Amino acid sequence: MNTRKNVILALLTTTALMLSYIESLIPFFLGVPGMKLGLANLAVVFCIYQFGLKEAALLNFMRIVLSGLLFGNMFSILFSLSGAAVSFAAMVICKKIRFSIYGVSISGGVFHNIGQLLVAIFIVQNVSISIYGPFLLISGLITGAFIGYISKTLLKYSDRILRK
Amino acid sequence: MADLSKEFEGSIHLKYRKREIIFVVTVLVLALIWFAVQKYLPTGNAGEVQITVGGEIYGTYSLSEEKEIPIRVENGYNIVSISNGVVRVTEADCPDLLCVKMHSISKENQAICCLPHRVVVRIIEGNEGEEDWIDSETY
Repeated sequence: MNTRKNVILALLTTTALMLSYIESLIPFFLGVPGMKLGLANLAVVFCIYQFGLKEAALLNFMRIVLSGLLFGNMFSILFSLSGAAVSFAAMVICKKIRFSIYGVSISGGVFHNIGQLLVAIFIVQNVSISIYGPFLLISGLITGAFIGYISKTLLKYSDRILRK
Repeated sequence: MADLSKEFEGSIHLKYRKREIIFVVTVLVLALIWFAVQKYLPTGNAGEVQITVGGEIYGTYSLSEEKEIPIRVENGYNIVSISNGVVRVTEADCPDLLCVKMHSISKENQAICCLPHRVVVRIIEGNEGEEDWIDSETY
C-alpha cells in the first residue's frame, strides 16, 4: 500500500462513518425494523470498484467497529457485522460472476437484509418476525439500485481526481 | 493502484445482463410469494397477545383488555400496552429503542421485536369463548 492509497482509503472510511451516522439519524421507514437506505454501502461499493475487494472488506470492517464504538454498543457491532458479512460475501460472488455494478450493489442490499433478519430471528428465538421479510427484500432491491447508480456516477469522475 | 475497476463501463455482455435480470426478478417473485402467503393464509381472529423472551413464553394476554405489561429481562425492561385492541411498546431502556418506534400492531401474526432484550410481542389466534369473538367482531 502506498501512502496515497492509504490516505484515500482513510478518507473513504471517514466518509463511510459519516454516512453510517446520517443513517442512524433516520432509523427506519414505514415502521419496518431494518428498512434503511444503506448509505454506508455507497462507500463500500465505490471502494470495491476503485481499489478492490480486500480494501473494501477492510473499510467495511473498520466502519462498523468505529461507528459501533462511537454511536452504538457491542450488540450493534455484532449485529451490523453479521449483516455486512453476508452482504459482502454476496457482492464478492456477484462480482465474480460478472454482474454489473447495479447487480453487485443490489445483491449487497438484499443479502444485507436477509442476513440481518436471520440473525434477528436467531437472537429472539422466534420466527414470527419473518413477517418483515418481503418488505426487507423489496427495500434491499430499491436501495441497492439507488446506491449502484450513485456509485457508478462517482466512479466516472473518480479516476480523474484520485489517480493523478 | 491496480486497475480492477472499470470493467463495468462500456458494453456489458448480454449474457451477464441476463443473469442480473434473472436475479432481480427472482428476488421480486420471492418477496411477492412470501407476502401473499402471509396475507392470504387462513387466519383466525386475533385474540391474544403472546410475549416471548429469547423464545420462552413470558406471558399471554387477551387483546380485548386494557393493560400495561412491564417485561423484565436480564438486561433491562420493556413496557407493553394493550389498549382498544392495539398493542405497542410504550417504554423501554434498550439502546436503539426500535421497539418503541415500531408501528403498533392489531392483526394476527403481526409482531414487534426488541432485539437487544430478545423480546417478541406477537398477536396470536385467540382461543377464548364465543362472546369474546362477537365482541372483537362488532368492535
